[in-house]
Amino acid sequence: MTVFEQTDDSVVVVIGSGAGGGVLANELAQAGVDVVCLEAGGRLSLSDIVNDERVMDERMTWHDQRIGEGLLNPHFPAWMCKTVGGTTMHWTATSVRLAAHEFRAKTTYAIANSSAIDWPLTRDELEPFYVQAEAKMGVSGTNGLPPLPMNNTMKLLAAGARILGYKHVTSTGVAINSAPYDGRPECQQIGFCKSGCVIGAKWSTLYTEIPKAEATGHFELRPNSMALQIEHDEAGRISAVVYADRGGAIKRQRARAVCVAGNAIETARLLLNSNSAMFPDGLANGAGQVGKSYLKHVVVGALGFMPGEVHSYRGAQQGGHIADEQRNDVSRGFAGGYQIESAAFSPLSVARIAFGGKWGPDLTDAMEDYTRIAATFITGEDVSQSGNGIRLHPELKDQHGLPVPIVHYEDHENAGPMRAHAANSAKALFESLGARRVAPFKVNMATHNLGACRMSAAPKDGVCNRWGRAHEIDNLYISDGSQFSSSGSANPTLTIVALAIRQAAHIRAAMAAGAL
Amino acid sequence: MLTGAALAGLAVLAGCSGDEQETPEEAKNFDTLAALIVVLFPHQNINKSVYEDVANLVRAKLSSREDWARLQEEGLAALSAAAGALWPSLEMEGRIKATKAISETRFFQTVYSSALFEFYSHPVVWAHVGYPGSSAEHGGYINRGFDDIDWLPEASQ
Repeated sequence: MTVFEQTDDSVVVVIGSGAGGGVLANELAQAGVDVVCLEAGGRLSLSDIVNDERVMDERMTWHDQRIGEGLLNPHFPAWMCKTVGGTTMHWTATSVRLAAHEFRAKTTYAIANSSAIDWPLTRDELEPFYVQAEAKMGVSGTNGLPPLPMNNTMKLLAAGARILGYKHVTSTGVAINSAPYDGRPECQQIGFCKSGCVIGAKWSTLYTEIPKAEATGHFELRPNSMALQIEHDEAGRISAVVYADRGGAIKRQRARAVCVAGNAIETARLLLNSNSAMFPDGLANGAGQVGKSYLKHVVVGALGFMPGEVHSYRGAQQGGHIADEQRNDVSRGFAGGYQIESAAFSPLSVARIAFGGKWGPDLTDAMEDYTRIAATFITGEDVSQSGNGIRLHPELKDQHGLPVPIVHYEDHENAGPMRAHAANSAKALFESLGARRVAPFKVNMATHNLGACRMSAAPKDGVCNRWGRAHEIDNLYISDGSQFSSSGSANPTLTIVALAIRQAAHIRAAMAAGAL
Repeated sequence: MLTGAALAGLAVLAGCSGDEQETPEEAKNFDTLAALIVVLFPHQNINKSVYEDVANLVRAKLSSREDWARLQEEGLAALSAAAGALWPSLEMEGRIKATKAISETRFFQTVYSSALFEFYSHPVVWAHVGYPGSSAEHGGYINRGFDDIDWLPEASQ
């Protein structure tokens, strides 16, 4: 196993081991760049993964104190992971490319009361990296992989979609092996995807990127290592990362460059916590954009109480989607589009998420129908607002003495009409198949955490440039979904992976040119 | 009602400290907690022992909180105040009405979220609603009906 000295200032330090950090680290290591990856969570093996939501929640979920404001759950504003593999352990593997118009949010939507900007790169520029990302992750419908076999929920959505006249219904675009791929087995339709895949059929960096990086001899993973502060030298260049190790001892890893991939909230928090005399408002925050324009998605869930058995717990928890509503069509009464995705809920999730706060017959009548419940999860374009974001609590500190993050999120006026339209689509879909009742619900925690350190053409509008490189600091990179200039309608992981592959190529080129 | 022996057994299950006997007051509070959980999740044909199991788990978890004793005392007093009589003495309809009246209190919210979590994680409740739980040890559903839905309209083509 490769071990680097703490004093070795030739290494690139990557903070986070999920879709952004795990991929970036492996891509660099494959090219011979020495990488130290700091991961706040512990390292599970496949045998630690069990079909038990409660156990896996304890093993994987980020439970450190956070405060939600606005529409977010005050105690649990975001559902993310603190484990090697990050949120690729918990994700449901929907892997859809953003549409070309979604890279031009400001121009396309021309929307009021928004801090929207266009991405400083186009879909065409990202295209080759999407192709590489799909090959890396084994996305169904690409690289010779068939579509994922449709489970009951997805068959049901497809049948309803046919009746409604939707055309783009597919179980391609899922990073779950529809056939053996990359040394990992075919999906056994176990369910429990959100609790980690027991057999590794769902792509996660835990058992792909991380061991591949280790095999190069250019990579060291340090789990249970919480980054506390990024340090710089007198010239304002990044020089080291201070972190707490498993036992809480404070360590300092010197670095040639630092890439931050802590999943929006922790990424912004780390930059804010790294303030200094030279950077009094935090690193890369000269324009005041760190922690601003945080995005999630406009989310609508809906349960359909169907006339026949569905058994939605059987099989992949998200086994495909309907893309017809992704288009931008203002005649619907809102800007941007949304994806209609299949979903599955355990009884506990039905009770806590779909019927949160309900009790008595309001709840139990629904639960009595559990096996006849079909579920959909709709994610739609969020609209940037500078007031949505992450800031530090003035007094409250976590177990490391770091200020606790406050996450503030309010709906943009575009969200209400979109949500209503999406709920109607779900209702029409389920009712076309004879649903006796459709129950839409809101989700007041974010699983897609985006923006907050966004890329921008003009330094005044964001934190990093089109490569994720901080506008203000040459050897500091943003390497996760924090870079997103806008949310798009699709689940973000595929785009995060494509950006990480692209950023790794850029870093190698910059190193070769002596510019890093 | 619970027998004394069952109560003693449950007290052990709930992890009551040392060899302390459960006081009559504690036993009464436990009965009320279990009855409240019935009001929250009134499934037909789920045995009373399940509600008692859940009450035990809830009590075990909440009693580790410093403020639990006071929260419980105030909460149960509020229930009876809303009922205009001792809450456990009421029929179901009266219990529901009084429970609604206190549903914004911290006591209610605390008991509700803890009980919800335990109740819908209980194996008997899972079996009742038709959820089998863990599937990996059975090879998942690839050969056990993941795509067996048979009542959808056929594609017209």
